[in-house]
Amino acid sequence: MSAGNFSVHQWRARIKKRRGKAFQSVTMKEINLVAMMDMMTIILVFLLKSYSGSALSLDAPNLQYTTSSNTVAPEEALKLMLTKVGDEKTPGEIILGENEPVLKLDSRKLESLKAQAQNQRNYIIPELKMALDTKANNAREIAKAQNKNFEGYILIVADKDSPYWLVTQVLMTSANSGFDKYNLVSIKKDQ
Amino acid sequence: MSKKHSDLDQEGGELNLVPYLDVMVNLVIFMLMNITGFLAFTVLNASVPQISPNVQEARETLEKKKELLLMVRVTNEGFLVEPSVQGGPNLMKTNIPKNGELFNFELLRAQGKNLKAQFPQETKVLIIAQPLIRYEDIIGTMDALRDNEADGDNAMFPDVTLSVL
Repeated sequence: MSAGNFSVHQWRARIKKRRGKAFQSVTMKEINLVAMMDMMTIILVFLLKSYSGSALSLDAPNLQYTTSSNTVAPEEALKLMLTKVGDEKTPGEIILGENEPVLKLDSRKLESLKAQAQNQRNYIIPELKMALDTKANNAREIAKAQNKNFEGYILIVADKDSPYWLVTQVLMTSANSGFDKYNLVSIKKDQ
Repeated sequence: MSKKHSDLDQEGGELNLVPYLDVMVNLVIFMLMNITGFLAFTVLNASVPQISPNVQEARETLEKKKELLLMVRVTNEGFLVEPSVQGGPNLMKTNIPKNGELFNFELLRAQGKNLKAQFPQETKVLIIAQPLIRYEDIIGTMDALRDNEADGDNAMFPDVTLSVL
């Protein structure tokens, strides 16, 4: 064997001898990706399972949900959201359906609604009533075309700090329009 | 021939996991971004008071059935539980004051449990609250009157009617 004709082992041994510990990095093994892949798969399966657990998807930035220990899962129905009121910068809103703002609840509007409820015992919000009437008529027509009865279920999602008088106005107005079976939406307590 | 075969074996020896990992990481990040999907929602059923078209008929039906009329008033001071039975024995009203700033839901649940033991068939409750009570406390009241156990099993009074004081 000539000096210039080494086998790989001989060459490595020679380099190692020369460089000492610096040679270790050259021979470092490849990172094992299998463990990471296992972890990723488990996280993915968990996330997918969590997604399928809830049929309801709500997207309201200015709303804090109430919590409940009840375990009844919500079913598909008309959604009515009442966001946080009392903040001057971002006034509350009543949102119907997927994302249809019906009414802005600034301080002036809140005062007038409150006076209406306390002085006249009138719990109907006219703007909301108009929008709900349209929805009820549409729902009735759809139900009729499908040979079904209009059931009047409504999902009420309200901010946890909403005053009861305002929630009552929303409930009374929806009952007045035919949506009188309320499902008050909360987050399950163990979440 | 055999050499060619062994070359093929060597080429397909190790699976390249990097693209698969890329997909996984992207999916996980996407799902974490849409984190609201995590929230599991639940619903509580409620109704508003209804006026019977025939008052006399409604009263007669109530008297005949001797049903429990359970009213729970929610005020700034706390709860007032008012059970009554038309033509039946007098039932004691119970005042449940607030625990500092918080409502005492545990005592309300215990009171509901007592009444449920006396009237096992009854499921209705009328919750009457002051206008400025927070919605969260109304839900808490409904929860306390519905659950026999803290974990939410065995419903006591799940048929809620809401009214304003």
